[in-house]
Amino acid sequence: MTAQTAVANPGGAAPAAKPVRARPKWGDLALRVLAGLVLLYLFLPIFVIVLFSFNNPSGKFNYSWQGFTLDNWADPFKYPQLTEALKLSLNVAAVSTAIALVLGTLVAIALVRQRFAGYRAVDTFMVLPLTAPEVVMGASLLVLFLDLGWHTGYTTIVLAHIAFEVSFIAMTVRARVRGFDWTLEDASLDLGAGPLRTFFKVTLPLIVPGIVAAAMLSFALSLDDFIVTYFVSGSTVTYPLYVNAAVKAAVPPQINVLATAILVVSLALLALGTLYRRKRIDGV
Amino acid sequence: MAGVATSTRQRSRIAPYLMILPALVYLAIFFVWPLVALARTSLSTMSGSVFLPTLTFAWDFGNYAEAFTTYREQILRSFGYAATATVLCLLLAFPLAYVIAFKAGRFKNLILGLVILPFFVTFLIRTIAWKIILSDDGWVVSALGAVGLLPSEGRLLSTSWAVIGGLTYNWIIFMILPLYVSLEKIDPRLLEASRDLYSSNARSFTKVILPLAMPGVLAGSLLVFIPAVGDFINADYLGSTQTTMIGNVIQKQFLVVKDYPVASALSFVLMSLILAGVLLYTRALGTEDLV
Amino acid sequence: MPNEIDRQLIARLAANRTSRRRFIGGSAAAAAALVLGPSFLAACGSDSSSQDAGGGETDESTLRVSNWPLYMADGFIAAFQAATGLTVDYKEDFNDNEQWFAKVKEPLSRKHDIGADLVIPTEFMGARLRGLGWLNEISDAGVPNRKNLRPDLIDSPVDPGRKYLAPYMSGMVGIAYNKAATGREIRSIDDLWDPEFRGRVSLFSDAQDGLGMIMLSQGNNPEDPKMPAVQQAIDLVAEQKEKGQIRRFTGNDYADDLAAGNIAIAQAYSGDIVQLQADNPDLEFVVPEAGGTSFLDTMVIPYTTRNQKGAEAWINYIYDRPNYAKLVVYTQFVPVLSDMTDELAKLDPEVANNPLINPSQETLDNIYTWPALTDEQTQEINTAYAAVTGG
Repeated sequence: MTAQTAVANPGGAAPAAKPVRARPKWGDLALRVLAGLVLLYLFLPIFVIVLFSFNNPSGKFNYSWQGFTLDNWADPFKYPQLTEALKLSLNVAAVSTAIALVLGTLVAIALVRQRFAGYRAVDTFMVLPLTAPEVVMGASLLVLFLDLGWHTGYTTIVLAHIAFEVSFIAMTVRARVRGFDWTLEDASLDLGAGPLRTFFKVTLPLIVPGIVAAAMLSFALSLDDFIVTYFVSGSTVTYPLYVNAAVKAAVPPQINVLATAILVVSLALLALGTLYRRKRIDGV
Repeated sequence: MAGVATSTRQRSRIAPYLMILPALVYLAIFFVWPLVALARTSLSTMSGSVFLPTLTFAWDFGNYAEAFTTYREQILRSFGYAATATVLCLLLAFPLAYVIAFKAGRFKNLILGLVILPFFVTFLIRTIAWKIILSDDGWVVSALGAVGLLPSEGRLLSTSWAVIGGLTYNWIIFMILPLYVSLEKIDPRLLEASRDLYSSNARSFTKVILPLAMPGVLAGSLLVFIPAVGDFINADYLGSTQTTMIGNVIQKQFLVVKDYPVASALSFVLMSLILAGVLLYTRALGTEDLV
Repeated sequence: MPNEIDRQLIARLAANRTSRRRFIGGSAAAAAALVLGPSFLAACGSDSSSQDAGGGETDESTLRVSNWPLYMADGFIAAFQAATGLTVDYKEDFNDNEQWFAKVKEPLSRKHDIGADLVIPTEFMGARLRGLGWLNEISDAGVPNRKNLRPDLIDSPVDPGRKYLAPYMSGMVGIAYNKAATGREIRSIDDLWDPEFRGRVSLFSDAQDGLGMIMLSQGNNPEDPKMPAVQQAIDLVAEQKEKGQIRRFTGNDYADDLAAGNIAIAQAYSGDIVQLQADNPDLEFVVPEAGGTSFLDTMVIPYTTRNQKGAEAWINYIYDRPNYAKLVVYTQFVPVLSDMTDELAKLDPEVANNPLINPSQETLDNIYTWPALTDEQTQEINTAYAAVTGG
């Protein structure tokens, strides 16, 4: 290829000409189909859950299909404890994720940006919280809180969640920060921006996808946590705690209804976000 | 190669320490301190009343020996299940992460959101749904049975494959997201260039894409494997009497048998083994870094 | 005390996180929370650590109850509140006896409040709490309706004079089977070991519930549990497990497998089956020929309670037959009060006639109860069985 058609054209805009070789389309198609199948796999149980929110069981369990009804949807907040537990879990997840994001992102960046003394030790240390079995961590944390004289409840739940979220966040952000072009920071500093301004205006925006991904994972972790939460929650009831306990006695369809409602609302928000983006890009 | 330039600038020597300080202090209080207490328990002997025992710190390493020998089978099994689940996660997650990163265009965030959505429903509800889908006389099992793809027990639930399936399903987003984050960073012009340079897609993949996606592969593998080894809840609901994992053992020792020294020792054995495995793995992948 | 972080803070943190500016604002807010947090926490901490156990604080207007989920009738609490003027803080956070014990052990041993004035554990757990000295006595004066208890429950080997453990709801522990899956009637424990049902049998992981009926089938009686007899039962279970006969060891989580037919025969609790039968008429519950055991959930008052009088009023209210009938009709377990047939018939004749809820004397004669075990006995049995169930 001649210099003019080389892809990395330093002179100006990318060339408008397409590559000469025709790509076999089926490879591309196969990839998309595969991805679609994986997405389907992720949602298979969700379809069942949504379906069973319309189930009409006569008893207290929601395991076999009896018949279609809209009654459950008419009375989704029938079990106030369930709704309260859900709200609490969402709250805990949001708060703990926000705090853990700050802690974890800073660590991830620090570990990649430059080698410092003790770097290896910190590196290994960050993996440890992932390896600890939940039941013993939960029990040990409880003893810690008792020794400190702290009342178990909302605060201790948030604190415990942050403890296990930080490592997850650090590792996820790290995957993004690796291979970051640090010369960009140099350029910014050379141009006169202070280190903090560089951090917020150059570094952070480029790693935002990593932070968002980490936030999503941390949120999911917190929403789903059972055993550590169990020990440090005192008499506060989170969503997994309620469901795990309730399932032994009954599985009211309201659980499915609320779950479906959350999914639908989140989906709507996502769709709106996508549309808004399009509008912005189109409108520019 | 563009994108991996390191800075040659003299950087502040304090900055990294300041940045890691908050996290380290936090974990020192809420992780290390409880862990130290756990270590003390693991080296203690129990005596006195059954439900309120007194633990005497006695440098009793016997607990460790007992932990290691009695439960070797469960430990090996847990590592096996977790490794299988990790490989499955990688195989399933890669196409999806790739498509989201390069082929989704404006729908990128939508699909990413979709991916995480199932996890807003608690583990237990997802598992109940899976048990309905995979029930012994459901169409999935019947179909697989017709083709002869069922495990030896002649069913899907309460088998080791159900446990592995549960581990895979419940941890796969921890593979999809890091992979995506790593892939998305790759300059698409690199991909085009590599396709022009290499004769086949396969080589373009192994020589260009995979190496660049390595940070994501590493992070994803660790984030799936490590929690999966210590998992107990999938084996509880989806397993049988033959699929006990080390997490179940620790649960039982702690809650039912109430042998706190053994439970603690087992926990440390597990943690050390995982750490050793992780160090070997990262070395094999050609990197010295873990996080 | 408000145990929540400022709502505005939460709202800001939860808002659009993909915008860089918002994120910065959020992280600044988070940092602020982190700084403020500890001082806020210290305030909380010093408060609760200065609390004393029952005897210190009392709150005569509120009653905090901790119960198993869905073990309470609709409208019952409201009626109680109206009748007594108390406010009830009703929590359905009692999940599993041993898990709950692991959680409250430390606080109770330090005389810290556990957030409940009255708890409803299973009898063996209640007995354990009593043995540790962590329960308040339930006064006779506070619960005059105590006389309504079933004659076999008025006294108990586990709690002489019924001073500490007030029965709440009982049930039978037997076997349940899916007629469509088994193809025939199931009558005895030996059916559990039929090779035809290989891999489709589930047993309890709890030692007492699981082993009781097996001991009876071997000619031993759990009412006199000598270790060799218990061991004999455990060995049989181990043998069957090795053969692959047993699919799973379960707690209360056998219901979905049974309903789906994945499990043909399960050790089960009577009330669960009554519920499942509503949607799945193929399910049957029987007390095994050689005998079954019973379980009893009891109301206890921890010694850190803040409302002794309120707790006793609660127990007394429940022991009133018309009130109790509502509970039975909803939970569909076996009542602990005597002569319930009339009251039950008033609310739901089907319930009154259901032998699983209102069993005949003949059935009751074939039901046995574990005695009070010493801590050492409990530990020995639990450990031996845990070795088989996969601990």
